[in-house]
Amino acid sequence: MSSSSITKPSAADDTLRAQIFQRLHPRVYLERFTAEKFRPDGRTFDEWRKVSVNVGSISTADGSALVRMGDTTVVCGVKAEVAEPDLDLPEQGFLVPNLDLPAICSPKFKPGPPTEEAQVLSDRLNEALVTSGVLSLSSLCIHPGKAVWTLYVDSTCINYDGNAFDATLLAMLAALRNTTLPKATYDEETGRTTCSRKNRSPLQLERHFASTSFGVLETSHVLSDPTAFEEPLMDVALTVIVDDHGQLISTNESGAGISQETLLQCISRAKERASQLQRLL
Amino acid sequence: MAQSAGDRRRINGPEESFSPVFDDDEEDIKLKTQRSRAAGDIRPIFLQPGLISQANGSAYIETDKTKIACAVYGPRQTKTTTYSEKGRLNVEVKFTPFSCMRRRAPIRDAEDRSLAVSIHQAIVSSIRLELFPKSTIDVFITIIENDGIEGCIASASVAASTALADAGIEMLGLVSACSAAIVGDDIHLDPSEAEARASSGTVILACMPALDNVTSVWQSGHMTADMALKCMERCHERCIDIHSIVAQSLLEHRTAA
Amino acid sequence: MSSISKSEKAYIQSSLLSDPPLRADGRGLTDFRTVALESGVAPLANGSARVSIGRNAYDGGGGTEVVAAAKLEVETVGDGEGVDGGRVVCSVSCSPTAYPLLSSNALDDLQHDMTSLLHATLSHPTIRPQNLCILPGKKSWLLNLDVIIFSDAGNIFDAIFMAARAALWDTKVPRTRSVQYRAKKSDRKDATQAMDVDEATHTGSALDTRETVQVSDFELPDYWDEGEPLDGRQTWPVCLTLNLLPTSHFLDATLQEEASVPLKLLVLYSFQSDTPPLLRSMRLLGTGVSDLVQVKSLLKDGEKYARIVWTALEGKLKDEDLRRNQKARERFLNR
Repeated sequence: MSSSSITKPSAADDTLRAQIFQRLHPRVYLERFTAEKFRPDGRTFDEWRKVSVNVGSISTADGSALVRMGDTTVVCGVKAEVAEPDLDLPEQGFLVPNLDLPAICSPKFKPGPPTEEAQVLSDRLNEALVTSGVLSLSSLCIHPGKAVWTLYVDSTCINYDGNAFDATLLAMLAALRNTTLPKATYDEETGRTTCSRKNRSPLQLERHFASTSFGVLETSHVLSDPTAFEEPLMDVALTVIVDDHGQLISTNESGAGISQETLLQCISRAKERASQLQRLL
Repeated sequence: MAQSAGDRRRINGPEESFSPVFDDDEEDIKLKTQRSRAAGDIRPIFLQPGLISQANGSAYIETDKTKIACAVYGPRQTKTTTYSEKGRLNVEVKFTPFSCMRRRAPIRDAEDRSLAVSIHQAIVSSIRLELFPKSTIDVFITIIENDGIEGCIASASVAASTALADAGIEMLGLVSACSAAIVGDDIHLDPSEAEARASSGTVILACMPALDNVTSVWQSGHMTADMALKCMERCHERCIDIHSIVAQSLLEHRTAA
Repeated sequence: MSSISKSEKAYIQSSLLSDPPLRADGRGLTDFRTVALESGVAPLANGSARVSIGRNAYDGGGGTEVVAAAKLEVETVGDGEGVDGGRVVCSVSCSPTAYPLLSSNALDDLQHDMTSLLHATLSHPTIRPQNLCILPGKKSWLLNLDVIIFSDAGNIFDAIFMAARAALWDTKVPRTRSVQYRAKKSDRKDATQAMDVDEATHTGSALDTRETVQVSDFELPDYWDEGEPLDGRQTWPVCLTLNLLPTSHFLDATLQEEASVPLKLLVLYSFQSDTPPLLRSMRLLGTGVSDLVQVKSLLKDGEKYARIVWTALEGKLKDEDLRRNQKARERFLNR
């Protein structure tokens, strides 16, 4: 492509050559940066990307949020529907979080059923919301044994530039905070549930928390908030979830092992980040 | 609505759930059909090219409540082995589950396809597909919020054309599109969902104003031929305005970059 | 659907544009091939019809062949998708032999696209027959209209809508009678005249145990005929496909002709005696472009042709009614 101008390299040619090098040898490309204690997007290792949260802009949802973390963009909308509770849990509602990674958000996804990545992320998000007890499911009860609320927390990634987990969890939590439910009454005679449009109340959230993800390269370089380019090159991916009181909720690690020292370091960084993110909500 | 039970690829809720029923649904509908702008006015358009960094070209369009993101990937190699002299344009539309009054289960349904077909029709003749043999241009559209299918088709066509231009794909002209509904004896341009439901017929017109031609006409419901022509003429006038909005936003995006 | 070479395409285009225009089968630009229609072809459906366009007169082969059938079922309003006043659901399916060159995915998409036009046009609330309602707010008919394409030799949309129109014309809605079940000694004043108050079902009846408050249901009276036709059956539209050439247009294209023109305009008209003709749907399909002036003149021409098709179809449908009733009577007498 650039063979004609090898004799006289211009700035545009240099960028193009850098791009080709990045495509062909991504790992070496990244290592050249990390050797200088920098990352390809100009961040230092422990620098976060800018985060913005915008809530309540979708009128068809009962609660919604749009989160941008660097270029990663996730929209989340909560839809409340009425369902019959499980027989053995007559007073418990349902919380159903899902993440969709559609073909629009990145060239690596194709149209069709959820990719493996989307399935794993949905599962982890579900676990994060359930184990942390963000919402008591019995607060979703309309009439024991007859009618409960089901909250579908659906997220869609519009632009995938890495760390979709943190962005999505943040979007889901922001959307849940933004959610209001209409006052519902169950009529025992007709077996129907009717709602009032005027009388809406917010959800009672039990706990506030945030997740923070890191990528570890060659056991020593800990990159916080990795981008789509960095993510697949990491040796270890680590996610730490802490609540607003600094209490650890869970950690999730995949790939090769990391030292305890690194883990502790990441946890304390995560606490810092969590309180930053809480302020955004 | 009910979800396909036992889909192991997603987190599943209860087997069945229903949209809440409100005590004052009828009043609410009446309230929504009231139009706050003049019959010939369209909803204000916010159009921003280039928001999706991963794509070759992209655009985000917002017309009042309707919110649509569109990304263009390609031209890239067509996966099938058969040789094609012309490039292929592939349009896929996806609704987010929370985009409509009723939750849409995240499975492809008939509406996605018919929307994709009409958007394809609106933009296909603007692209110089003969320049891209053996290639596919993918246009992916996500409807984040829907306030009227007619408006969605029109806005998505505009966004798609903007995204194609943003991707640097050669075209004969920019496509703009506008919809109209007949409510009583009046023509309401760019109808909302409630307005379209209350109307006796709708028209969606897509055209390339720079070349003064029409790429798609999509009429449903019933109306006389004269009324249909009147709708098309009104839409065409608005398309010229929309065209300048598209051109302006692309220009601003270029100079900012 | 058929793939033809560039030179074939150029040959067909230049013949169509020559003066006088030439078509392979010797027709003029606005001539149709022979259309054959037979209604009542599916005995178990509430209404049905078979349409073929351009069938070979000698051996009965070739041509576009489409069968449409309507089937009614009862729906409860508010449950699932049931709508007060009834609804029409249309679907088109293609026999794989009609499109041997298409992959199963492409065939699915094609069916989808045909379904979407048929459904959007015929299930629009503005054309819904009044008598699909059984009990206001409670029960209604769901009319399923299924169209099957057996072979496509061009002009498929016109054929689909002709068959659909004939099947709907042929459809008989069973007569229903409202029934009210009432608890013992309950208030009677809200029983309307049209209702039958069923007092035989008092104590101990299975019906009585269901509800103690008043509830209405319906029953099918035992009449000898199949029911009454759908309301406003004249309003079902006819479809006309105008294949666009740079300076003119032509009708009833064969597959080869379809493959050599880039753009077509579908117009669907319905004609009623008392109102001006109404446009029920209009679609521009293909990769070419048109303009408002052209669309305007096409609409005018389209209306003219559509009326001819409509008149012919109306005549044939009345013939069919006569034929089937007479035949039925004769068969009855000859028993």
